[in-house]
Amino acid sequence: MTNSPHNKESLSPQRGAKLLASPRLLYWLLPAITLLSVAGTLMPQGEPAAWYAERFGAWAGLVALCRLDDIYHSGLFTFLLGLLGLNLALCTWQRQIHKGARRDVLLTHISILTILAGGMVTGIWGQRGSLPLVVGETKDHVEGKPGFSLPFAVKLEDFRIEYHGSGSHRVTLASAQEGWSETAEIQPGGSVRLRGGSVQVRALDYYPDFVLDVSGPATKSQAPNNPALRLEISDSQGAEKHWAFAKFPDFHADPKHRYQVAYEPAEGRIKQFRSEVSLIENGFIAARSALHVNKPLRWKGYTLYQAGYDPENPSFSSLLVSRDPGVPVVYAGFLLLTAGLAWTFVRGMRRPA
Amino acid sequence: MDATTLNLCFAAYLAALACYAAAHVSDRPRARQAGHILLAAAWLLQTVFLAQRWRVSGHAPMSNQFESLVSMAWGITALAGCLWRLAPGRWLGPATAGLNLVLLALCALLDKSVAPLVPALQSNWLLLHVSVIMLAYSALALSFLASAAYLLSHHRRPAEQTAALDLFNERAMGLGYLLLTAGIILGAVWANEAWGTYWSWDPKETWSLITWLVYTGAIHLRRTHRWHGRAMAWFSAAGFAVVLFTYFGVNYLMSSLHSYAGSR
Repeated sequence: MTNSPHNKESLSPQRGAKLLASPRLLYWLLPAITLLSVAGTLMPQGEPAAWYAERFGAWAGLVALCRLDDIYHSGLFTFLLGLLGLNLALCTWQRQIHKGARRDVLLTHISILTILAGGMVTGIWGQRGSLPLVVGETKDHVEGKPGFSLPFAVKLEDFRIEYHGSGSHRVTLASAQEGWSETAEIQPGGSVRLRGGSVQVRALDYYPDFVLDVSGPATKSQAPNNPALRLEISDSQGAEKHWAFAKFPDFHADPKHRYQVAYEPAEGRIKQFRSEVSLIENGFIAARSALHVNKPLRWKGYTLYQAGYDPENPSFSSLLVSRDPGVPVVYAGFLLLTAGLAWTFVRGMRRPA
Repeated sequence: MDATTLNLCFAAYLAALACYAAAHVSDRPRARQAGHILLAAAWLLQTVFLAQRWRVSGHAPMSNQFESLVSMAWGITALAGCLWRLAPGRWLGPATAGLNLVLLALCALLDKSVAPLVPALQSNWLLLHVSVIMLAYSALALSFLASAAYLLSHHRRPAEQTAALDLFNERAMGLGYLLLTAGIILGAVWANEAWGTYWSWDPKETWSLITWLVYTGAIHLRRTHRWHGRAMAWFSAAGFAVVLFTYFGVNYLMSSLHSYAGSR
């Protein structure tokens, strides 16, 4: 490579600074960030090394070397975002502030810089980890990368999984005498008509977790562990009552009945996960509160979220704990961005065609 | 009842398209007016359908792909009505009716059952986030329709009309970009309430960002490099392809925290 005056110019700091402050750089950065973002959605992220070794064999080393397993936290991606921030800051400084150009564009660019700054604050000072607990357990150490200790302890007082009880159940009615069967969907308390309206089926009661206690039929919980329906079937010849058990179809079958019933319960859809916790400071309960999905609990700069459960262990609840000083900065950026873009849009609409 | 309303809505869009076609062939203004009236009637039926769905389910009709697609189709006609006076020529009515027919036909392939909301969706943010995102997609769909009209007819339209079509594309894209930004922001705030982080690089989030970056590029190229006409029309069409992948592709091809947005 010859050391020509042209090459000297192409490597000069002035030229580099000019490029950094040029919109042309943006047209290289946008596709580069886009391509890496696409790659991150095609390659599963954050899996253990063994997973990549099993999937990619000899290429797994290359995946790890290029940080393809964690693209969004890789040096290259962080560098490109940093370069984007620098480019935006310099362009804004040169074109907007120096030349006194459009304030809506200035506001928009400053907002993006604010969001990037907030993201940096989150990345550097944000803390996040999980707090797996069983009912009655107390913890103040959060598991994560790296784990951290809370200035208070969290005791899980209670954990409940609530189920939707109003789903439709499938009931199949058969008449051995007349040689027909028909299936219909029914809701507890509701009724359906079969055989062209000549037979009516009413669902009198629904027991998601049927038990027989001293007071009679009851439900042990709202979990669909042993679903049972109490039905009344009526036609021109009269009415008869049936018990239908989803898991024990032949149980309680009465040979005197004219109809046979098969029952398929409504899918046990989960309505909500609720954890009730006590926050303990210096050995005393400082607060007691409930949290569920979409309703986190905030205490002393920390936020507790309902994060997980174990279908095999009904007393287990996993909470997520987060402390993120970047959030107010990012939200300020969000507000400025919305205002800046709305301003730009209104300006564009007012411009004559 | 629900299905009947939606079928009537489909029939009204089809009849509107037939009227526009008749007006094009015979050049009768009355046929065009009938098309406009049928388009408005179809939109009202769509509104009734969404209201019925909302009443029956007890939540905003935006909890799955079927509901959000009907909402998006509704938004296309609503925004076309808002931007009607800015659209040059006579392409907006038939294009809106045609795209609605395609989207409603797609709806027929999706699960229409009403189901209770999963815990993650039980939030007022559902209405805010999804409705704004769907309106953004509707505005970007209008931008795409304007681009298609430009690319298909710029050689035989007067220069004034092609310039106006280009400006319509810019305005629809600007509106879509503003709404997309607001929708992503609302989603980030909701994510911080539900998942404890405003950004988790979930595939749906990432593809929303990719869509945003593509339109950011388009808007900057237009402002700083004066990209107009055909180049911008192609860019807008490519941007809408990214929108479609973000909306449909991610739901079916990628595992996402937004998986409830797919067809159940």
